[in-house]
Amino acid sequence: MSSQKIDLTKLNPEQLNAVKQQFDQELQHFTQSLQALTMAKSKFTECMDDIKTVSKAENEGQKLLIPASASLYIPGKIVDNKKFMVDIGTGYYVEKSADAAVSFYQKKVDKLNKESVQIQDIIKEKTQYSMSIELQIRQAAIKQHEAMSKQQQQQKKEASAA
Amino acid sequence: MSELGAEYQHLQSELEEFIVARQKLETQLQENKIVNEEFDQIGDDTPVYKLTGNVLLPVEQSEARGNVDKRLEFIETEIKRCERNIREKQDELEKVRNELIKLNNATAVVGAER
Repeated sequence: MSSQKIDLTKLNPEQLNAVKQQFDQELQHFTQSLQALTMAKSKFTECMDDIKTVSKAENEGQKLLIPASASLYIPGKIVDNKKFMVDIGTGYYVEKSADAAVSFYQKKVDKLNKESVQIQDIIKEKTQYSMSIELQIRQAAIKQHEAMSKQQQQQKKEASAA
Repeated sequence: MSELGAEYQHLQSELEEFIVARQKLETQLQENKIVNEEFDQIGDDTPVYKLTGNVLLPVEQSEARGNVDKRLEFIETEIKRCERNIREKQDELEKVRNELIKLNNATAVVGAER
């Protein structure tokens, strides 16, 4: 995302932590997006399965219960199992044949698959960055620790010399 | 100093709001574009329905197309307006930031002189 390059070895621990936090936030954002895509994909796949089932020849004139609300069903019969109402977005529905409806959903699923792959690549990249920042933080901490123990030894030496 | 800092934070949150609004508009634009493409693909005599509350009401295809076209137009002008707002806020933010830096340096100099 950001084009500027940052030399991790030049940052102090606080800065490193801030950078890592930012990366983790971005990572979380992308993971959530991927989850949303996967959910949308499974919804579309379900629709395709439903169309395939209903449009089977033996299901013509099949009796079924139609949900009128979440808790009320009305007995009904399939009058035409070759036509489907497809939600094309913003509340508009279009009548489609079974094949057209399936290909409509298939196109959506294909698109989502492509986007999923892209997001997965980004996540992989970001995870690697995050890991290398983590490593850098640890190294910085070790360095700080060493410097401190050296200082303490120096002080001890000075104290014993005095 | 703290007053300027508060203003900076305030501007920042305002900018964030605009950015969220811009993202929302983008989502709407994409959805309407998809609907428009779909309308272009269907035959002239294909029935179109609109979900109103919990029922599907049949609508004229031409009316539906006109509606989506109008909405696309509206969203596009909204996006332009929103982007202008974002740019203005960014400029304002930049100004305050520069002032803050100047003030910071000034106080640092005063502190050093003491």
